[in-house]
This record gives sequence, structure tokens and C-alpha cells, in this order.
Amino acid sequence: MVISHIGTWFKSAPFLVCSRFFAAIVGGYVFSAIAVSLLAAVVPLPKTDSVLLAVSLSILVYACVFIWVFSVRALRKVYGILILLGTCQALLLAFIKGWL
Amino acid sequence: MKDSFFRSMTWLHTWTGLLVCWLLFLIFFAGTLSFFRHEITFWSQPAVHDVAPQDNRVLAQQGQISAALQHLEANAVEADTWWVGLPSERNHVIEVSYKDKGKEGERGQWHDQYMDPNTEETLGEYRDSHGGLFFYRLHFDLHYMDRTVARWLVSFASLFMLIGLISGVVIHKRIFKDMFQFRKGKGVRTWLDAHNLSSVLALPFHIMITYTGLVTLIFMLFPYPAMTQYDEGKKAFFADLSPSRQHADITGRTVEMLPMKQLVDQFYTDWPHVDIKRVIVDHPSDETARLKFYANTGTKIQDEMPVWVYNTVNGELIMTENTDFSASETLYDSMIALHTGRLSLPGLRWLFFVCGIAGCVMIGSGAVMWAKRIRERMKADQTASFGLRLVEGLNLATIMGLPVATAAFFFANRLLPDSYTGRAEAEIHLFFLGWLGVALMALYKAGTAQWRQLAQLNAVLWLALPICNALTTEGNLVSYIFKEQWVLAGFDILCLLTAAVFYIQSRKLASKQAAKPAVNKALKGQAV
Repeated sequence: MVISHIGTWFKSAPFLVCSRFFAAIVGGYVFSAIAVSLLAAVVPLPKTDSVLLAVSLSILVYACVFIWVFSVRALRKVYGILILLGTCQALLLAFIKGWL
Repeated sequence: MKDSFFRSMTWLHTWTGLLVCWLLFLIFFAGTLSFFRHEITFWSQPAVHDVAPQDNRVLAQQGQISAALQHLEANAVEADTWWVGLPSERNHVIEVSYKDKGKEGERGQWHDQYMDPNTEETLGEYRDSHGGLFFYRLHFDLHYMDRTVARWLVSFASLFMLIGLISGVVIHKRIFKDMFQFRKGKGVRTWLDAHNLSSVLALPFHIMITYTGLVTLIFMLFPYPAMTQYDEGKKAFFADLSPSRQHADITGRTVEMLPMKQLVDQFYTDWPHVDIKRVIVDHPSDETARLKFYANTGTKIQDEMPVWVYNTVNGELIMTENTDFSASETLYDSMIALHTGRLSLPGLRWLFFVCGIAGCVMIGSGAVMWAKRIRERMKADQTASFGLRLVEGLNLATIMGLPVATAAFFFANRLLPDSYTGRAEAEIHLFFLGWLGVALMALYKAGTAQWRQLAQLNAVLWLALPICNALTTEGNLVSYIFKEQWVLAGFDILCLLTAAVFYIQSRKLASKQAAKPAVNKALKGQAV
């Protein structure tokens, strides 16, 4: 009874909207942060240049991810791809930086 | 799929826009005024209105720098920093400032003085006022709140603006046609056309200014590349990027500096034709003392000024910086330069200003349209929801309130006595009091009658401003034109134009009120 109640709540419109905004704002932010950090680590430029290039592009990455989150119909797919790609990039970054 | 993408973007455009439109309007409004920051500051200092600009500005600089530094040598021996701002195309006087050594853990106080560039004598009676600096700060630091919080809020609103712009382009089926379409007097259609027209015509500007605006705060928003690339974090990155910005702490061991005049003359022997913007001495008479010359970037798309750093004891050139940029530095720096618009000649500056106003119109019309649509769909016997009334109230408070507040700020500058303590702050308080007054009225009721009354109030205020200026200062619009003081004349003309626009608006609203008394009655009934 309680579980089915919670189940319907998870499918309600307000929850789905909030969840999508959460994915876009917070998920997109974390994803972009990892992506541009990785970019700075891989471009063959002097350190200051790679950082400047990465931060200059960070808003572009963020905005694209944001729009993409709202363009995909299935919310699960959104979370799945964000988490999967984000983790892969974070692992790659950690590998390059020798944190592992 | 295509249809669902279109619909999701329409939804996104509406709701991201509505959530942040009032804050965005404030940011755009203050930012637009900031393009004329120095002109506003100049207007707010009547004592320097008659200081004549120089014909050979760059040639006179050597003598001016020497005079200013000698003044500081004589009057601010114990200071932490000396700061000299040279006259530029937009600022006629020499700014001579110094900062005290702050007590433990505190920042020292700045003391500002101004010099006549022609006579090199210090000017008295400088008015305690922030002038254009207020709008510049308001634009990203807001007011009455913590700076960091304010900047995150502004960044959040800007991100939504960017999303609104991108989704706005997507939902536009006929972007080219909209450029030439304005259907007058058709209710919501007219508002939509105004929204489209102001968005589409200045779209490159809107996207540029929003993106570069976020880039100006990028090291707060995305410090991660710097943090991952440098083990010691962001500070190490800045030390690497810009060594001239690094301040060694005062050691307290005093040294005998060379006379400033000699150092300045030496700089000019090596670099005779540079247009200098400012000269700074860090920690005068301390062993860490450094003399820095910053060049004016003029009309170049460059924000970081080229700098020469000298040792003050032996006159040795320690480093030069920002004279040539790598590709990444150019990318980053040019975005900042585009946002601040310091590079522009008057014509381009006006274009920036007009585009900024188009941005305000875009945001304002979008917000008004949302409310109008909901009202139109309402049945006759339905009462307006709390949400709708709130949006209507905030629309009125923001769109009509900010001009009232700005006028109040300018009136305060002319009417508060010079001796008033905390004068600069009082001007700002009056700005917000004016706004608060309008906001209270608007949140109480925001019908056509209130829009009309505020339009009338604005028309009266902006018409009275040049008159008040003529009564409280030596000059007036006629004398400005005769003396070719175009900045001051422009300010007055802009005030009169603003008054005219508000007058026309009030006339239109009056005729609308007269044409639909029955509808208005119904609206009034609902609003109560």
C-alpha cells in the first residue's frame, strides 16, 4: 500500500519535472566539470593554456548537456548516460593524473 | 521525435525564462547602463565638468605621472599601495589614490584624490558618490548581500538565459520572417512580436553577452581544470598565468627608493610612445616595492593590459607581461574584452547600449506575455490565481520600478548636500527605497491603471532630471551643446527621450483604458 503510493509519486509530473531539472542543473554541472577537467588534462598545450581553453569551453559543454537532458524523452536514459559517461571520464582523468 | 523536441524546448523556454526573468531584467538593465559607467561617473561629479580634455593626451602623460607620484611621495609615505589613473578618452582627470596599511587581517582604506590634467593641481570638492560604479557592481554583485552568493545567483540566472536563448532559437520556426514583423495593437500577438523582434535583431549580442558574462565568473563556476592541473590549486594557476599580479607580503624592512621622477623618465627613455592607463606602486619604501606601468589597450580586443614591472631601488625592469598572447589566452581574454566593451569607440558603445536595451525589452516582453496569455485564457467568472497576480506584480515592479529607482539615484546625486556623511551609501539606499515604493504598490495591485500611473511618474521624473541638473549645477543642456560637452548633453537628451517614451506609453495606456472600460471593470473585480 505504502510502496505503491510512493511508486505513483515517483511517476507524478512534479517529481519528474524536478528530477529532470536536477539532472540538467546538478548532473549537467558535475558532468561538465569532469569533461572540461579531462579536456585540460589531454590537450597538448602548456598548463595555463590548457586551463584557459577548458574553462572557455565549459559553459558551451554545460549548455549543450542541459539542452540534451530536456530533449531526451526517457529520464532513465538521461541519468544512465550522464552517470556512465561521467564515470568513464572521471576514471580516465584519474588514470592520467595518476590518482589511482 | 521532432515534434516532442520542439515541445520540450517550448516548455523549457517558458519556464526557465519565467523563473529568472526579473533578476535577469535587473542584470541586463544595470549592465546596459554600465556600458556608460565612466560617463555616468563623470556626470555625477559636477566639479570636474569644466576640466578641459587635452589635445595631446599621450604626450602629456610623462609629466602627469611624475607629478602624481611626487604628490604621493610627499603625502603618502606610509601607504601600502599608490595608484595613479591617467586621463583616457572617457575620463578627463588624473586619479591619485593610496591605500593604507590595513591592521592585522583587515584591508586598508583607500583615499582618493583627483588632479587637473592641465595644471597638475589637486582638485577639491570631489563628491562622495559611486556614480557609474554602482550600476557596474549591481550588475553582478547585486547589493545588500554577500558577494559570493550574489555572483552564484547571477550566474544561475545567466545560465538560464543562455538556455532560454538556445531553446528560443529552436522553437522559432520562422526566424527570418520575425525580423520584419510587428503587428501593432493585437494584444498578446503584439507582445510576441515585440519579444521576437528584440530577441532576433540582437540575437548575436544576446548570445555573446550571456556567454562572455558567464566566462567573466568562470573561475568561480568552473575552477576544476585549474584545480586538477595544478596540485596547489587555483592560486598556483594564477601565479603561473600572471606573475605580475602576485603580491609579496610587506616585510617591513625599508629601503631607499629612487626618486619617482627618475624612474618615470627612465621608463619613457625605453618606451617613449606608450599610451599609459595606470601606474601602481606596491608597498612603497618596503624591500618588496614594485613600480608597474599599465598600457591602455585602446580599441584592441584585449582586456588584460600590457604591464611593465620595475624594481624601485635600482630601476631594473623585472618583467613585462600581456604583450603577446597564446591562442588560448587570446580566446579567453577576448571574451572578457567583448563583455566589458572597454574597447569600443562611441559608435560601437551606443550599439552595445541599444542591444542591451533590446535585451531588456526581450526579457520584459517575455514576462508580460506570459501573464497576458494566462489572462486571455481565463474565463470571465474566473479569479486570477495567486501565481498570476504575483507574476503581474513582479513584472510591474521590475519593469517600471527600475527606471524610477534609477531616477531617484540620480536625483540623490544632485540634491543630497556634499557634507552629508555616508553620502555615497545614501544615494544607493534611495535607489532601493524608490524601487521598494514601486514594488509595494505593484504587489498590491498591478492593473492597467497602475502601469499608467507609473508611466506618468517616470515621465515626470525623467523630465525633471535635466531641470534639476540645470538648477543645481553650473551647466545645462544649452550650455553643454554650446561648449560641445557631448557626454553631458547626451545624458540630458537621453533623460528627455526616456521621459518622452514613458509619456507615450501613458497616453497609449490611457486610450486603452478608455476603450475598454467594461473589460477593465471586470479585470479590477478580479484583481481585488
